[in-house]
Amino acid sequence: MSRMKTLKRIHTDESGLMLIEVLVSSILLVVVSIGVFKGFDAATRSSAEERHRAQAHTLAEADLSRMRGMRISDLSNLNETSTFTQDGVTYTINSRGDFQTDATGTASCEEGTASADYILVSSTVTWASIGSRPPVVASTLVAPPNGSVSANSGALAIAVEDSQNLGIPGVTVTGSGAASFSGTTGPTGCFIVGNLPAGNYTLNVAGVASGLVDVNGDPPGPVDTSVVGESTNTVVLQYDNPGSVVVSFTTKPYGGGAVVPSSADSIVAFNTGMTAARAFPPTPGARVASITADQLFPFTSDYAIYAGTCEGDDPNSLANNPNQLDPAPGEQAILSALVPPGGSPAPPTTIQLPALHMTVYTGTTTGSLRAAGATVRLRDLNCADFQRTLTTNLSGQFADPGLPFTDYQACVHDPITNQHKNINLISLNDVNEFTGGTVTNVFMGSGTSPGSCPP
Amino acid sequence: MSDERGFTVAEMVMGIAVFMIVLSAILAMVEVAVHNQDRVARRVAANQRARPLMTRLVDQLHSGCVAPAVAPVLAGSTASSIAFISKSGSTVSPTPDKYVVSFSNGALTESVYPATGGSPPTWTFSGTPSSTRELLKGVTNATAGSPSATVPVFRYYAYVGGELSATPLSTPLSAADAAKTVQVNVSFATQPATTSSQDPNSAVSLSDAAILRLEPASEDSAEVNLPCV
Repeated sequence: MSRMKTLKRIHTDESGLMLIEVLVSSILLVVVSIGVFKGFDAATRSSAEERHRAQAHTLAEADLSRMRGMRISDLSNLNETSTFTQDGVTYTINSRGDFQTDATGTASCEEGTASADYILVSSTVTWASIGSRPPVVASTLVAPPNGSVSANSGALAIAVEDSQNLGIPGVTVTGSGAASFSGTTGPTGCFIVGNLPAGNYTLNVAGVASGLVDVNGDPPGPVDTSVVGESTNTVVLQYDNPGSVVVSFTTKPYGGGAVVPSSADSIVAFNTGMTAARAFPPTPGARVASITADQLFPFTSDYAIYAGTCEGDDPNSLANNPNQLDPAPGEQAILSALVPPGGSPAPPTTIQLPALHMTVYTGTTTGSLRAAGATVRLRDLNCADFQRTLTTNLSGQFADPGLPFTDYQACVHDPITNQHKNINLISLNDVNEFTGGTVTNVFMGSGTSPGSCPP
Repeated sequence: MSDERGFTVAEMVMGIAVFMIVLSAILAMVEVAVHNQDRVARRVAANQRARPLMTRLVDQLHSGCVAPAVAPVLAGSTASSIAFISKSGSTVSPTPDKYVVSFSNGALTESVYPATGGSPPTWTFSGTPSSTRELLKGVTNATAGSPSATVPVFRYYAYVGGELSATPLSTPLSAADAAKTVQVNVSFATQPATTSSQDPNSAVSLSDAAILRLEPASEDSAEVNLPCV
């Protein structure tokens, strides 16, 4: 019986223990082997990669050498990709050329008189098994030599920028005139067209985001330029999101004192970056308390905004001394406003207008009756004789005496007596003047002519 | 020691069988790895032997512009033999030597012919080489492209219409073609020193190019962009 028990115990202990041990040790062996082979594999791969890297370096150097022999106009904004297959490995070569200038140290195609311009050419070589390792990059500089342009041809460098002088890539510019060409701005927002016959050209721009305006506040339109033999003409086209300014007005009331709200029929905005000042609204309407100047290119310098219909109404050109432009505290005769892209400058954006403190009397002295309902026609002698007509109130005065700076020719008509009187020159050139001056009192009792004011 | 259990024959046979299976798999992997390692090592060795030669050849070609507006590549150069002038050193007006590098019988050989007279841009050279030596053995034509095709050892290029032509000049180079050769492409393959019969793809191809221009091409398409300008 005890022998049977012993046999049974032994039998129980034989439950595949050896097989499990072997299996476990085999698995351990396999795991260790996989680790070792991964090490072998990594070493082999590393050797192969070094060979690929050496070949890639040769290709990059050869590509740089090739680019050194290319034309400058072809090199500017060069961005081409080619492949080269050797020993079953395909190498991808990206060749690039970017204009650099020493003046700013940044990529640019603007030529400055004090800058040394050159092209940074670089060649980047990658291949399929490169993984996350860095590609092979070789780069060098190419300086455009003198005399690489024939005598009767020149080059055109076209830069498309925003108001911050940052290049806008992907803008297509086509040119027509003495020859035709087309190009698209690169990452730095510029490209160069070389070997163009000297002459006049018209540039057309496509691919600028909708809603952007040029320096004059207009949508992108044709731009005229010219090419001069043996030189590079740089054309900078600027486009950006327009901003706006809401302008309100104040003026000195009759008798002086604190300024009161006034009105105007039009304002003029100007920045030195514009080709001409711009009037808002383009056709003046009724006098209103505030006017919006919109579609303003966001220059990094201030706009000068003043009341009037043209540049002839610029207070700076009319005032005889700075005091005449020195308004009441907190007011300004010319609004200096920095317009941000797509926004508006912070208030206050008010302009103090000079006041025409005219009083119309029916008789010949200030003791006579005042002429109510008399019309005063004012001709702006500096802005193509633009006419404004004001009417006197019961006091023989204007309800709102604020008017733009300028030289006026006036004609006062009293409808009751049907007499008119001409005043040849009223120089409204002092924002603070409210007493004295050229004309304060108009006496309709003498020196008048019959009938309405002549046209 | 009280436990005197042993293993049955069946257990031993089973265990050894499993162990053998695992071991044979591992040995097979070892064989493949060692073979691959050997193959890569031989290719790397071949590459390391050939690459300095390629660099030297390209450097010699780059040293061909010994005077302004000379044509370093000489007429008569073919797809398997190039004749060019070159000189290294710090001399202001170097007198170049004529180098002839040719590929024949699976080897690249170089002969140097010293100058006997003349002045820039033409010199006369000795008819017999001052030295001839074998640069590299086990050389074959390189293959490039996909599908791979055999490429000549030397190819010569010139500017056409202001741009470097993609089509090589016809060989042997005529005097007119040699005068406007501005790029030389060098391609060859080299066999590992001890070739393995099981490895037909053991040759290592190398390719490089030397541009014989000193400044960018003229903007005028009609201009012939000559070498060493």
